[in-house]
Amino acid sequence: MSNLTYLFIAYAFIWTAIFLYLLNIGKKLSFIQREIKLLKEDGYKSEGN
Amino acid sequence: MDKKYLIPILLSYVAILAALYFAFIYAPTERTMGDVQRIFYFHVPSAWVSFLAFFVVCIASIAFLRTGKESWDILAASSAEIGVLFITIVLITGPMWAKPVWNTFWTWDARLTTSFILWLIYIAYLMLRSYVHDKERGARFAAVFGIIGFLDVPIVYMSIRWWRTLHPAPVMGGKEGSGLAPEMLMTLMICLGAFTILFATLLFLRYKTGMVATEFERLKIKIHS
Repeated sequence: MSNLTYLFIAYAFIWTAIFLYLLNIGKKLSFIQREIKLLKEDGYKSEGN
Repeated sequence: MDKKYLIPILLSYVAILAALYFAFIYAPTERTMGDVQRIFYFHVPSAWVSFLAFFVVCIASIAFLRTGKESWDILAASSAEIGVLFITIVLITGPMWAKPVWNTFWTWDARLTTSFILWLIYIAYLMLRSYVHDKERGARFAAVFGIIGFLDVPIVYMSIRWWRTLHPAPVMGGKEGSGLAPEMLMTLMICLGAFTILFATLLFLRYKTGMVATEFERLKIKIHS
């Protein structure tokens, strides 16, 4: 492998890892926010009953 | 997306673009190693960020043990996760640089071995957090582990000064004759700054997610009780 291939692999790994981590946080956050919204709606409904 | 999340993300994006410009265009090609030396501009800042992250773990763990506030525990857990991400990057990019220069991906010299141990310590820290079912007990165990684990950071940093290793000698604060060309030093400083901004952004996002998750758990208990 040439020097440039190693350089490419290293940089590709850095950005893929950081991007996947950011994606993971984003997914987790939107899942929790959605669940909170549903929970609040359920809470209001049961209070209404 | 919420504006308070968007601003730090945009700031990191601009900082990283600037770092890439400096690393690939501004910085001169190193005479003996060639272009592969450019890994240095992201390998060193990744190591710096992992040290910084584990320092935050240590401080937040001490604060948690003193005050018992859950927010400190969330900060420690968030920082440990980011620290593991960056020390993993160090352990992957290092061998990518080593192979064409040393003709081997890995050697058990002091710097590499202590870095690998640091990675194992914080992997164990994250495992401990997820395997202890009693959340409060787990948080206390993790806090103690986080403080003790940090002891390896100065050992990793000093390893190339204490022992003779294959790893290059320090380029800053090293022996006489060591050092970087001004353009390379400038690029390294820009990259260190960019990675610090990236770390702050990731920590902010991860911490906020942790806080929202805790709120969610509280709300669930409140509604179901």
